[in-house]
Amino acid sequence: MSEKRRRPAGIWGKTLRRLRASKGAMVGLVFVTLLAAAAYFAPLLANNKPLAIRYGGELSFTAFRDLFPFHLFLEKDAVSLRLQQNPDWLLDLETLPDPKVDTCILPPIPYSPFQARLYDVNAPPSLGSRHLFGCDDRGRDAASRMLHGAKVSLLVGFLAMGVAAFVGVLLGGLGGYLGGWVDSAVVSRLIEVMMCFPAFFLILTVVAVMDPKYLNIWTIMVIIGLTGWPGMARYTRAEFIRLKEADFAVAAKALGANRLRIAARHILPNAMAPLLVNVSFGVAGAILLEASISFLGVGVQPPDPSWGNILQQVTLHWDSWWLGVFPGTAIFLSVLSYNLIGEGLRDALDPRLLR
Amino acid sequence: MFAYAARRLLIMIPTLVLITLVVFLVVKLAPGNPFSVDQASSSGAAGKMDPVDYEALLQRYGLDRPWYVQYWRWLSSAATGSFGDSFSERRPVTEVFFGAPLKAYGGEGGFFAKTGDAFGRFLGSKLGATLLLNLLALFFMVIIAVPIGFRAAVKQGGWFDRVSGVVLYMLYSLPNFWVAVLLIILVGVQWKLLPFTGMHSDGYEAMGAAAKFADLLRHALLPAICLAYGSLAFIARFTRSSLLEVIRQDYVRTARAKGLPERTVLYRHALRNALIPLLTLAGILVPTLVSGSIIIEQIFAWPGLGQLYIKAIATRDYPVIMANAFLGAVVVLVTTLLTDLSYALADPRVRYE
Repeated sequence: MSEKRRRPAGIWGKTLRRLRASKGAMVGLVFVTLLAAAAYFAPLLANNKPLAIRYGGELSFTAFRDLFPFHLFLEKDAVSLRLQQNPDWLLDLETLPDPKVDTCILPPIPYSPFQARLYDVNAPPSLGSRHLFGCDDRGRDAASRMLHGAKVSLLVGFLAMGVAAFVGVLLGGLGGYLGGWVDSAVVSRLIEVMMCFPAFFLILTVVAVMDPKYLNIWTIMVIIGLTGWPGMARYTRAEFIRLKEADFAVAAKALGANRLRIAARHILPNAMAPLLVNVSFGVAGAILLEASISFLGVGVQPPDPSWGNILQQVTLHWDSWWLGVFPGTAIFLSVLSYNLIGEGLRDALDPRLLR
Repeated sequence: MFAYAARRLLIMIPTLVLITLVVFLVVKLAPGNPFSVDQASSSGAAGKMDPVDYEALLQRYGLDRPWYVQYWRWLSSAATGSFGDSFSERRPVTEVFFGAPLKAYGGEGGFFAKTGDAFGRFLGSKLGATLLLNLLALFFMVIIAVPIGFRAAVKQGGWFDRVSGVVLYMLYSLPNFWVAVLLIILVGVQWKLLPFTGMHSDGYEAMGAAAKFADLLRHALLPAICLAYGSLAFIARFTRSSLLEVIRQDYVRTARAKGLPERTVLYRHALRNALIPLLTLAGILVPTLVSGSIIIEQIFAWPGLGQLYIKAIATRDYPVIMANAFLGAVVVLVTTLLTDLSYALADPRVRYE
């Protein structure tokens, strides 16, 4: 018999096939992927540094340096230094020609997210000025800020949900597998307390009373994650209770596997599918939470951009409708995408529909 | 069922203690207290308080004691129904929440006492404002959502079902603060149709009762819509799937078989049974409304509990924060309990012992 016998499609294979058939989930996945790419390549898409420039006879690709977050190139090139003194230098080339600049290719949105331009204050969207989504009350380009802010939303979604999933699976697994007092006195009580406390309340309280020194996107992610675990824990607990009596778990026990091995290698992988659905909805929830608290002004602090704090600016200038429309659309579409993916996953994993 | 309810009420006590303890710790462990925050906001040397006065203030309000002593003091006075005085409002928290007691007006002063308007007095309190908003939202939800779900289920697969399905799904993913922003831009700023800040217009006090009511409604309309639409989508989808399940039941077929008119079958037999699972939704909706209120009240400058809470956090107004957390937790816990109990009332098959 040949070694290349085709393996029967497992639950993941089947799920993937069914997921591919779900139009909504695919649209969601494509959007999220595009968004992730846009967020990663934001320095090339929206920047006041040139993609390529011949300055004083020397060719340099300044914008690409921003792609590396840890500043591999610590020494600044002449172009960066010049831009530091005058961020508008390359934008003003037409009116103020610079003989040393030969060729210069600017990114599609030639503004950095922090670049405040006095004559662009509250500028409405227009193609001519290359402010696609308009400017805020400091003359910063909204499109540029949104592209750079996309990173926050995506990271929050994944990291906060990662923290929530870790705590939730750990506690829920412990409670469900061990049962007894661990479950009834500790895990179930903790879940109950957290569930009847609206997460938004707690996050708002923690973030608002925290020392602003420590308030950055990373701590916000951790806080959102630490309040988001009860749903995860409840699911994990139910799954572990269901699966610990399953034949395969009993068989593993008969073979002499210890409890940790049974829980981690046998039960957890089998409980993974419903958890994944939960994760997808949780990512949507985390994005929404971050946007909400940034919108209230206690989340990501300006000048760092986030969709929530760009949207907040419209509440100070109701005439700048563009600051309300575009960031909100971005939040809506990414939340919708993750909800669609979650919905698709749930349908794909529904055992009643599985063939 | 009585014993069951009593037991559930007893379990609530340790849960409440735990919740308030968590909030207490979070707020206490954070840097700053009501007096230091006050100093930080007033700029320059003029805002600095004499250290002796500062210590005296801390001592007066018991803030110099260790946290467990402070928590115990709060807990034991809360158990007797006293939640302390708000630092920033300088009056009892219960008065801020529920409105001043009638005797405070003493008959000689105060607008509402003169008109004897107890309802108006309650509306002037923070809880009253929030309740008004939430009840209006709840009203919108049920009035609109159930018919939509009903229609979609009865004509399953029809154009209405498909269109409403997509629209409701979209609504469900729309962030409510964004909807608030868009509504304000369109309805409030561009078209100038409705007011979008606060609860009253200028000159509210001088209006007649009907004009007052209309004014209040105009102010509440936009925030209530923002609070309602998300849960509305949820309820409509829920009604639809619940009704679809009921329609396939034997008793519905029996009702049709014995020749009852379709209207009677749908309204009397199907819809009534389909609405029972909606009770579970109350348990989900109330926490959503509570947290939704915070952000919506902030945007619309609605003087309710949510806005009070944000202000209380910023000024470290401990009694208000604690009372708010306590009230929120009680509301959520009681709703969950009532939901479970109403199940038994609505469905004779459910028994608690």
